Amino acid sequence: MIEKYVRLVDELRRKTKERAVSWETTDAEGQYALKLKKGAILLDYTKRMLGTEYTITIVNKEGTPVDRIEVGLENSYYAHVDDLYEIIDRQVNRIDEQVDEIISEIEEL
Amino acid sequence: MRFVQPLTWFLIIGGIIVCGALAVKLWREGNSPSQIVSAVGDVASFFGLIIAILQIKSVKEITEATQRAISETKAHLITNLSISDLSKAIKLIEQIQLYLGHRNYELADVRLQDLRIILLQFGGNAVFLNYVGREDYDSLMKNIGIHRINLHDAIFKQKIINTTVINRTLENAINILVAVETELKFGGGGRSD
Repeated sequence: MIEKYVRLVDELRRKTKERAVSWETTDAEGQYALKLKKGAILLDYTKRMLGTEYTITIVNKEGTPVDRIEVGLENSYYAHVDDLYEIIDRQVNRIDEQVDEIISEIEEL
Repeated sequence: MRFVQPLTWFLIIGGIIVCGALAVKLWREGNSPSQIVSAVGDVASFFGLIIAILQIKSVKEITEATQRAISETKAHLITNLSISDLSKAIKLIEQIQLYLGHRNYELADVRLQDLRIILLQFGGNAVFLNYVGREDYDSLMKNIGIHRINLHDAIFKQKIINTTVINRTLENAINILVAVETELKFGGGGRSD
C-alpha cells in the first residue's frame, strides 16, 4: 500500500471517529461513500475464500474513478482499513446509538 | 442606396441647390468661369466632407448592429442545441431505467456513460450551471460516477447492486433536466425546490 493511501486511511479513521465526515450507503452492497467537494471516496468489501478484501476507490468531482486500491489480508495495513470500515459501518447504521437506547431501556426496567 | 440616411439626402439636395444658386449668383456678378468653378467646388467640398462623416458614422452603426445580431443568433442557436440535448438526456435516462428493470446492466452502463458525457457538456453551459447550481451538479456527477463503477463491478465481479438507488439518482436527474428544459423553452422563475 503506497504511503499516500496509508495517510489517507489514517486521516479518514481520525475524521470518522471525530464525526467530522459523513459517510453514506450507495447502490452497492457493503459499500460506503464519502462525498467531498473535490471528489468522493468509496470503501467496500468483498468476501473471499480467505477472509475479506477491501477496495478503496477515488473518484474525481466529474465522477471519473481516478484510482483504485485493493487491500487484502496479506497487506500490512489491512487492520487499519478493517478498523475504518468497522467505524463507518457502526456510524452509518447507528449501531452505538441503538445499543445505547437498548441499555437505557433495560436500565429503566 | 438604402444605407443613405435622410439627413444625408437633405445635405446632398441642399448642397446641389446652394452650389447652383452660388454659381448663378457669381455668373450674374460677372465672375469668370474659373472663379465660379473654384467657389462652387469649395462649397461642394464642404458639403461632401459633412456627407462623408455622416456616412462613415452610419456604416459604423450598421456594422455594430450586424455584429450584435450575429451574437444574438449564435446564443440562440447554442440554447436551442442545449434544449435538444436536454431532451436526448431525458430519453437516455428512460432507456437506462428500462435496462435496469430488465437487469441488462451492460446496456445500462453504456447508456449511463452516454448520459454522463452529455451532462459533462452541460457543465460547460453557464445557463445550465446557473440554474442547477454547482453543488447539485457536482453531486449528481459524483453519484452517476459511483453508479457506473458499481454497474461495472456488477457485470464483471458479480457485485450485488440495488437498482432502486440508481433509479433515485436518475429521477433526480430527470427533475433537473425537465426543469431546465422548461426554463429554456418558456422562461420564468428559478427552481422552486
